[in-house]
Amino acid sequence: MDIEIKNLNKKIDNFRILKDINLNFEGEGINVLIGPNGAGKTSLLRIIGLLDHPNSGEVVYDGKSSLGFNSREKLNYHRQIGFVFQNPIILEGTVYQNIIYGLKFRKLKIEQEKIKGIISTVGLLNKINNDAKKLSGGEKQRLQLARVLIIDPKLFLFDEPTNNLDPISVKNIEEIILELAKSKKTIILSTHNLIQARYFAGKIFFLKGGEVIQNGTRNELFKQPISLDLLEFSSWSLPELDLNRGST
Amino acid sequence: MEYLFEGIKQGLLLLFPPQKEIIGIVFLSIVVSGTATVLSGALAIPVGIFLAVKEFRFKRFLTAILNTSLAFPAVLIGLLVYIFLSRRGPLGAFELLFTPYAIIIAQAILATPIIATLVLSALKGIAKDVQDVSYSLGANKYQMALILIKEGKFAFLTSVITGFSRVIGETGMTLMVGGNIKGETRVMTTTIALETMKGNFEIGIAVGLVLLFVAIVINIILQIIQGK
Repeated sequence: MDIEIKNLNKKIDNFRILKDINLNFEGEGINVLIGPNGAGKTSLLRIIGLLDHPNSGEVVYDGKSSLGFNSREKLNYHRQIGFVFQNPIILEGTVYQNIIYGLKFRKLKIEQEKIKGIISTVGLLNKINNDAKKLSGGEKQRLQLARVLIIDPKLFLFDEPTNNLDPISVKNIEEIILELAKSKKTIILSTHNLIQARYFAGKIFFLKGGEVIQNGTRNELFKQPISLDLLEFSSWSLPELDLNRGST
Repeated sequence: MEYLFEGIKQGLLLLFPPQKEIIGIVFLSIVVSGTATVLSGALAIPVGIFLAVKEFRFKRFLTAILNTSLAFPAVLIGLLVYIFLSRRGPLGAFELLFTPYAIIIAQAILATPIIATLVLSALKGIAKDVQDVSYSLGANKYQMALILIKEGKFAFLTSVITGFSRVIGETGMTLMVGGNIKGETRVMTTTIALETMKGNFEIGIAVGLVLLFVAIVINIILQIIQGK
């Protein structure tokens, strides 16, 4: 799905969270939003995910502007977007019941084999009947990823999906995201982990103070930073960069 | 002290086996307060959900009014209901004053802001998350509302039970609009008030023990719900 952001502004209590954002996201592959806390990454993702309204500007999905959406169109686009939240939001019920919510909302057939396959992919097969609210933080994050994978959306929005996770869970989620990228899904991911941003490659957007400071490929951004902000952010965030990781 | 113990003894004798009159009073109290709570819950829960979920211009103002109405004295509600239902009042033609319906109306008015405020404060913490996750998983507005109700069911139950415990213990207002007519509008609290003034402590104590039992049961249910 091609995503274009035009003159987007967002204010909360007279504080400008996003300032005149103009962006084009790659329709296939991974788009990474990087920047310090408070840069506006989550706000931008929420607006793209139709969970928040901008104060002005628009998001264009495959040539269709969000400005003209009626409630039916909004629902239709919601159903093409999968959102993985920074802090997993788990609903009441078992792991299985949580995973099938998206299918039930769409009144789609519940295929047990497919569900088990996805639960297995995220490593929760042995907890399929457990109370989902009692899972650990990492398990909850993997559960919400499974909940999104089962609905097979065109666009995946990941808001710092590996924050506070153990290295094994991080690796598991990163591998799933890379697999999605190979299957030509559109992925927009926010992180303040520059090692992860380089690992995912794709197109990188550096945000700070609600503005896009610079964007480009990882080589363009990290080898030729045009702004002092990015240089400063990189130098603080990449003290011991593993040069081999994600360099292929 | 002796007459207190004698009163308790006589009161217990009235309960075991329970006298027909006391059974009638307890039954009427539960039916009247239960009906009032159900009616106010039917109005208050949607109001609480609406205020928790919807963003609109006068939301803070309406929430402030709702919170302020918690401080509305019950006796004042009794007075207003009395005026409205009295013969010369706007609803006088219905002849509801000094009937159980008048008590139900007054108690429903008393319970509504209590239930709505409790629902609102309970849902405030979860409404945004439930909306986010439901919409992001492709729910329409009705499906989202169902998920919110499912997630907030214990909060609703707690609110309704709290509302019920408030109205079943109400005396002054119930006395004003019900008239405390024997066999018709005499409920537990008005019985205790009347019999105490008449010096019939044993009946007051007997009904008081039942009221205390109801309060304990309500509290146990609340503890169980909150423990979930």
